[in-house]
Amino acid sequence: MPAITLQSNSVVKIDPRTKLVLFLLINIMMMGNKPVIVEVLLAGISCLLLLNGRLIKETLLYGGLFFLLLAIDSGYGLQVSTPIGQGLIIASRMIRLFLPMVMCFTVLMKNTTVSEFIAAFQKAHLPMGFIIPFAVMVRFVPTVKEEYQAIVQAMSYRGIPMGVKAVLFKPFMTLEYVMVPLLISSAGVMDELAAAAMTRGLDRDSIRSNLVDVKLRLPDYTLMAGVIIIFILMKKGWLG
Amino acid sequence: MKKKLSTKELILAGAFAAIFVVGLIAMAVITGFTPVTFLMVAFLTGIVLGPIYMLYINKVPKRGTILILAALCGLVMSSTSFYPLLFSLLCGLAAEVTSGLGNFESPKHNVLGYGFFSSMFVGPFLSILFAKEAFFKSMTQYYGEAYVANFASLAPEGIILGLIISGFIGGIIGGVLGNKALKHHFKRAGIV
Repeated sequence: MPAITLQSNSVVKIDPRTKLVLFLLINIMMMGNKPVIVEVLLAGISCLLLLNGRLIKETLLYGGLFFLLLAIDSGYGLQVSTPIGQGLIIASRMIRLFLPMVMCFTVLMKNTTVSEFIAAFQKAHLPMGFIIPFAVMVRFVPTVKEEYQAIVQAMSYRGIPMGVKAVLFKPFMTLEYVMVPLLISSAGVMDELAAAAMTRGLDRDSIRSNLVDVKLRLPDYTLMAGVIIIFILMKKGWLG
Repeated sequence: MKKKLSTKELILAGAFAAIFVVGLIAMAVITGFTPVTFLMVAFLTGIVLGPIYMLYINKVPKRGTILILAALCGLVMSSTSFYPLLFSLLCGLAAEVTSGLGNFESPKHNVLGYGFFSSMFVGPFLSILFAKEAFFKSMTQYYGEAYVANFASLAPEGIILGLIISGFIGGIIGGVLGNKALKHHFKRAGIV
């Protein structure tokens, strides 16, 4: 991998704005009341997006899990009557509900650089007061995850358990042990991030030029139109 | 008042929003397992996220910061409708005004402000008020009949007020804990 990546490594270039619109629409549709066919279509589109970003491992993992859960649900969903079985079905449906969103979110995070985000939003004439926090938020979520994993690891080295039992019986202690190092180490990362942004001239008032070229092209329009059509058809109830 | 936010502070706002959002989603997933804990989500989230909020407000004590955080959290919560976003902005504004009265530096004002802020974690439940049918319908799809019947008997429409108050109380507790953590850990580590 090169040291600095300005443009994400995709098969077809997709504008960050398209990814965002797709993410929001898929969110709305998945959270609402919808037929199974819509779910399958949305999961399919999300898989395509992942593949387009050359995220093969994620495609196989999330896509495979989705269709596996779907198969289990449609095969056994109605016959299970024991409480445990029903609990498992509910859990599998919950996971399935979130999978397309997770996929789109992965595309947003792993397949979009911060430069691309900022360039796209600047083209959409959004104020800097919104662009910067939003771009940083998307960039920072994986960092939080990494820091959290490191903390849990460090805790286990010292023999402090971190699990269901610890959360249930010593909630405040566990909270303190996780939260304090997380915030302290994140604060360090934030300062570095801010310094990096200064060197890139993010705090200038003048209009920034950008090496990344973002433009809405044919694939963008096709994708957006496709999802919007699914949305309208679903609202009209023509998809069963 | 001080001048408008610098780029560095905007970056901090985004980063704290990321931590906030991760916490929010984690809490929603953990509490979603049973109807009773799901109803307490605002209360519990308020407590857990208190230290983060307090660190944030002490690191960037300026006008506008709370509103940015509220807007970003609202965006994440408003997956089904726009009510949560509006409600979050409202709560953020209330928190902004309350903290502003103490110049963003008085711990008491900040705790009270976080109380208002934390009320917004009720957001996802707002659709009970505005679109009850659709809300329960989409829940049935995922949780099954029994869970929803249980949930519906626990949650008549008037419960929203109770939930908002529970969020407020959770916020106050979280805020007090946050101030304690601030004094005990963060000021000593020199990151505020």
